[in-house]
Amino acid sequence: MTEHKEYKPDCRVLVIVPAYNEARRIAGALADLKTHAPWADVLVVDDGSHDATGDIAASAGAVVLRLPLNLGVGGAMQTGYIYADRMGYDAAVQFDGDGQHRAGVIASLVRELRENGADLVVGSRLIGRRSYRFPLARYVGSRILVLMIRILTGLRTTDPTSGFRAASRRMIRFFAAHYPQLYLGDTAEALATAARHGMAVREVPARMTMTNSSSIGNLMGLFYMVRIAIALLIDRLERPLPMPPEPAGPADAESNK
Amino acid sequence: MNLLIGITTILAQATAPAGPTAPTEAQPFSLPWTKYLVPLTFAVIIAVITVELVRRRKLREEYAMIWLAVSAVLLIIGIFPQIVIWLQDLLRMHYLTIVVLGLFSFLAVIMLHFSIVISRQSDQIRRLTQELAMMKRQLEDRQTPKPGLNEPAKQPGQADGPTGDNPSRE
Repeated sequence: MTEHKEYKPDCRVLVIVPAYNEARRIAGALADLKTHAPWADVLVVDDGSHDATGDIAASAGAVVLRLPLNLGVGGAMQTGYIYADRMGYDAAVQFDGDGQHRAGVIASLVRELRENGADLVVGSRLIGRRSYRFPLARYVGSRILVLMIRILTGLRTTDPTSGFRAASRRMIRFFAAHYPQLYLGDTAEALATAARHGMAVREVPARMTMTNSSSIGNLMGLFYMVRIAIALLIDRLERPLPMPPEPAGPADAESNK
Repeated sequence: MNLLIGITTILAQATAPAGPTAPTEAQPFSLPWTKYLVPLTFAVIIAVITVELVRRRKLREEYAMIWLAVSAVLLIIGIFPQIVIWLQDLLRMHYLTIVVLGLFSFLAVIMLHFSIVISRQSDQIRRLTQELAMMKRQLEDRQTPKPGLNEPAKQPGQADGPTGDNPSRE
């Protein structure tokens, strides 16, 4: 982590933090961001929380978008991308509000994006020094998704369920228009969709903190796994989505303020 | 809807001829009166309910059309039950089978139609929700301008502001 501390991105970076009833943990995540990625703007998308998530985030200095309805992670994430697109950000980083992701890694995600011309950079828990231990069932599920994505799109990934990602300008515009909405399937499906639409997808090592937030049992896990697999298959059959046109001009970000 | 199927099925069973139906071709006009009455009854009930719902503004005209069409089909079957007899001979199926099959295909089509409508509407609701969140933010910014919040591009540490993204534009 320390090796990236000196790296300061040469562009405007927005960190998108979708949060649903995260009042207890959001402050920690925002403090981490302030310490380890002070150069980034932070947007918290409050996904219709019933607690003080939005207020806490606002008082911590983040820009807060409050969704009047709970849309789920996919809908909240897309809101962040729409915001990033309209405000003309060059890079957007998906960051969980529950403290699982570490702000220190953001610099290396953005660096991969900027220096190696990637469109989507995924922070993988499975490359580099491993500090994250998957429960067996989730590991097996993750391997199956890796294989499916490999077969369906040709993309080689190691951690398709990682929600720690950075997106380029092009990727931001695409996700603002089309972002998968399937519950717990948005990460894997977004990868497959991005790969299928000619986006350069890369991975960098990302250490993560274990959170015991996953309350899904093995049986439900299997159910979600099957659902994601079907979604990937359907995604493969879908006609290519149109790439949204470039906004009118650089002034667009200003007029949309 | 299940009730409707149930009733129709029972009535159809009651009205179905006991034996195989192939010989009915010989006497096509000696049909039991129930074969006229049952579809006609349903046609009238559906039409009355539909019109009443439209009158109370609980059903939009475009959906009322579907149900009026159903009523019309039942009306035709009620007036000309020979259509079903003709189908019986054509498909070599029992009266009951044809009724159940017809109902099933109708329900399948209409449920598919509603799934498509619901999918489109949830997309629209999502878009509206996102747009609403965005506009609330803009409104709050205008009412209580806080430095660094209404214009995230110009937060301290990013002094070059909106021009900073120029080198990256492809």
